[in-house]
Amino acid sequence: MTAAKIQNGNGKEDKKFFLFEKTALIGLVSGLAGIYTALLISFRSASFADSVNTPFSFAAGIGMIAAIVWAADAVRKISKYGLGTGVPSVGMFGIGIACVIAVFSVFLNTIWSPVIGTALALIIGLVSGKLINSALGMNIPDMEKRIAEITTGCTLAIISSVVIVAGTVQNISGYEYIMAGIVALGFIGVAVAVFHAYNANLGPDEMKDRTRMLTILDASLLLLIFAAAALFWRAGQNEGIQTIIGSTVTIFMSIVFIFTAYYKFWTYVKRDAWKITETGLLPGEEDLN
Amino acid sequence: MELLNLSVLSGPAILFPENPFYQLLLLILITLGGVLITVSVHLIPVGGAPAAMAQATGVGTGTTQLAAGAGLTGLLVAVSVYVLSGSGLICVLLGGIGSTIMISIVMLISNIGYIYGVGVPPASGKASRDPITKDRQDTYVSKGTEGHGIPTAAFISGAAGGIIGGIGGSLIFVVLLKASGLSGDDAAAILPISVILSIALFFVNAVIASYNIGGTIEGFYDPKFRKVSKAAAVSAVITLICGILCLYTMIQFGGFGLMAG
Repeated sequence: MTAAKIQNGNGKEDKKFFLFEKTALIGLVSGLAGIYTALLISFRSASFADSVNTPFSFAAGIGMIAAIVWAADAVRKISKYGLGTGVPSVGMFGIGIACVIAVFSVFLNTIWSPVIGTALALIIGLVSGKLINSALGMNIPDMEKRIAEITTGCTLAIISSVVIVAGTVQNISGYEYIMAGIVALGFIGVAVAVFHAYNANLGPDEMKDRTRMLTILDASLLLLIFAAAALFWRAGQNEGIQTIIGSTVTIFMSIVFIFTAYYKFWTYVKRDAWKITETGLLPGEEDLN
Repeated sequence: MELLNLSVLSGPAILFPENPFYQLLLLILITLGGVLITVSVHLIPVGGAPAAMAQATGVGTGTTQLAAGAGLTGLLVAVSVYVLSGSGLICVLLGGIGSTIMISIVMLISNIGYIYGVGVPPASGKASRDPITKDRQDTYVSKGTEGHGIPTAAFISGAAGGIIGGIGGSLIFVVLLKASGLSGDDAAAILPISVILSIALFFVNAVIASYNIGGTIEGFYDPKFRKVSKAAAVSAVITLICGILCLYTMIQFGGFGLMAG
């Protein structure tokens, strides 16, 4: 009876439109909300037009973590069926399409770039997932939905990282150099944060909360790097203390996240381990002979 | 020809930016590059996790990582050659050769590891005789394995895959850079973006091929190679969609750069 109940419960969840599932909704809404909070509460410096002061850039950081958690959750769901090519492959596919869409939407030079990017990522993810699943004969249930989720999560994460470092999605002079650096780092950083957690935890004793905590740890480490980049860029412009408030807050926030996530992950590891033993000392010379 | 910088030849009118179908040609070339990458991955002997334990023929790592390693090396060569020479054709050809050198070194070193480290002879599990040297294979395959090491046919197939994949990746890079219409110092700003976009398309196509072959393949003589047309069609559609976005970005960026300059 319990099995039937679980089956029923799963069936009910599957019938829901995939964007209204809890993880997807949290990732999508908080990703977009974080980006727009950081974008809308920003001030252009009066003396130096290239400097954009974003005191709320930590909101985009939280949005980035939520989007990465969403994409990593989709990787977990799709990889459970056994792709045959390793977990990283689906992460690299998602980030490849997400990178193209993120660069395209940011260079549209409008405040609606994040929304346009999200919509494009959903559509292209669905189309390519459908093509791969049916034409190549993968036959994995809901593959197109999961690939759309991975693509959208990665797109939101890259656009958030642009907002964290550059402070805007509208062109400023010298923007292309900054953009190239951010996307180069975001390409591999977001991809690793998305696929590493499930790849490291997979196995019969894989637990959802442990995997998710490792994802948050990876995403926080990436956030720390982006925040440091933002701090150095703003500090180099020498525009006063108010321009580095956002990045300083992001750095402290990400450090707090890193330690909390590490502690929780370690607690989960100890909870799930059957036994933790000491490895002991290395064997001496007489033990080897 | 404007596109490949061959001023000696006077090519057809479509190769010049003034032609209305110029952008369509660029889009077709990007799609061709994506399809070439997908075909190249089918030729490279990939063994995946079993090959890492010498239980399957091929290099012991995943398709994505192997293709990306060789492809990125080719792209690095292509970018360096483009910056030094400014010629599109030499850049594309040398990009292919760079990829071939990288994949050949990988296969050679892993063969040395298999032969002298693990102690197994290179043998194919899919063919009873090597299609090129006609040597007997099945008697050398250890019991319970699907072959080990990289035999001659797989090695040659891998080298051919390297050159095709490198040409595909470099072609996407050159076309994206030419689409902006910038050259010389103006192109310095757009170079990193076009490299990143071509890396992104490289990964997408490598994964499509990887899904088609199910993670492992030995080379052109593997029965799985017959499925290559399906993957090429899927890759063409997805690269076409992404290529439109990439081209729009680069053309808009080129206009922006011209205004700034």
